[in-house]
Amino acid sequence: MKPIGLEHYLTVSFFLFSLGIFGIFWNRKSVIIILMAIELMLLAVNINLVAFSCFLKDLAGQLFALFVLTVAAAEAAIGLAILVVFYRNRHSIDVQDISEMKG
Amino acid sequence: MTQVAFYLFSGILLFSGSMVIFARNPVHSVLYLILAFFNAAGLFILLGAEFLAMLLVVVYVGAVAVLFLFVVMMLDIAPLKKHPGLLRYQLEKLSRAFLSLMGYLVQFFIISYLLSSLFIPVLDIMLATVPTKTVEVGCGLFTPVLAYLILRYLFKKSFFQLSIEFMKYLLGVWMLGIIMLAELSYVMMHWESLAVREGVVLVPTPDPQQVTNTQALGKIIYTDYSLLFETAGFILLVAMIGAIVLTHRKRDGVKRQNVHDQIMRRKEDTLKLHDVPLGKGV
Repeated sequence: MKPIGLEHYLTVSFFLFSLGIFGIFWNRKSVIIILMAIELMLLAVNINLVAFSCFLKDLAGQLFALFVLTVAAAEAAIGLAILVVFYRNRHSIDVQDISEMKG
Repeated sequence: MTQVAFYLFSGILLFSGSMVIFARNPVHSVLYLILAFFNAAGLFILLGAEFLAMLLVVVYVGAVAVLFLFVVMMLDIAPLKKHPGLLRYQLEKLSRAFLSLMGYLVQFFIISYLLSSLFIPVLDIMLATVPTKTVEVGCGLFTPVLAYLILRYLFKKSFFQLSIEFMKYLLGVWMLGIIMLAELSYVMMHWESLAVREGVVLVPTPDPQQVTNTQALGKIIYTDYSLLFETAGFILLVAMIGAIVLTHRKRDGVKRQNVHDQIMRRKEDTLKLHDVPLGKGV
């Protein structure tokens, strides 16, 4: 087998990111799946950053991945809070129920 | 060994990532998300980023995924019901679109090939005076156009209107894809990492035999990047306050202490002194 290089990690992260994007558009039931797809995309970005950091011998990539993790956690908290408020008002979190406006 | 671990981790990562999206039950989605985070942590360990791997397990599996799980269970979302026809319908739609596209392409190429094989000798004779290369280019441009015209005449209704509608639908997608492909190939051809080319390394990784990953990260987080670190903490604080403000609600019929009201209470507002005359009452 070939030794594992940078391109292997980049391929994995590419597929994971595409899965995340696909999940956002494919999904037609609950908003919570969309939030999880966003988490997957951020994870793919982190894999990218850490892989580059490892192969370029530069610690700044891992540092940046750390900040991405922080922001992702904050985003998940706020997103879930919005979701809970939304559920209280509408008693549903279906994607097709979100639109309040007609048109 | 490393290869086996890499393929194992990345395989399970991609599988669980797709199951996050395709699982019918949101609870299953969250559990697959946890599995995905575990395997990403494995990949991080393979890359030598132990601190981030542990952080992923502790913060994501321990906090974020559990938060997701709490919300999913609290909101009591019913799993998507299994429609027996739904998946088959979608698959049918996809395969029909794919097959029709393939069919059009095959027909187009077969017919243009036939026409070109028919017309090239004729054109050769007709254009005997013109250099060969020009003829080839002319035929290459000419035959598809001719095929288009003939086919339009033959299948006026079914074939071309359908395909034009199809092309209209696909046009935007193709444009986008072509632009992205061009950009990507440009990058592929010209990309050379600045760090590799010029030896620019922002923070050189110390020798892992002497300084552990966590120690090295800590050394730069608390010195050179302390401002960014504090900003990250501030973002978390803002997120926490935001989540509390968003989800907090006042219930009717529950008596709560209102500190503001208590502090703003003055003697004049609540206390009245009456000088009650003797024997008369208030």
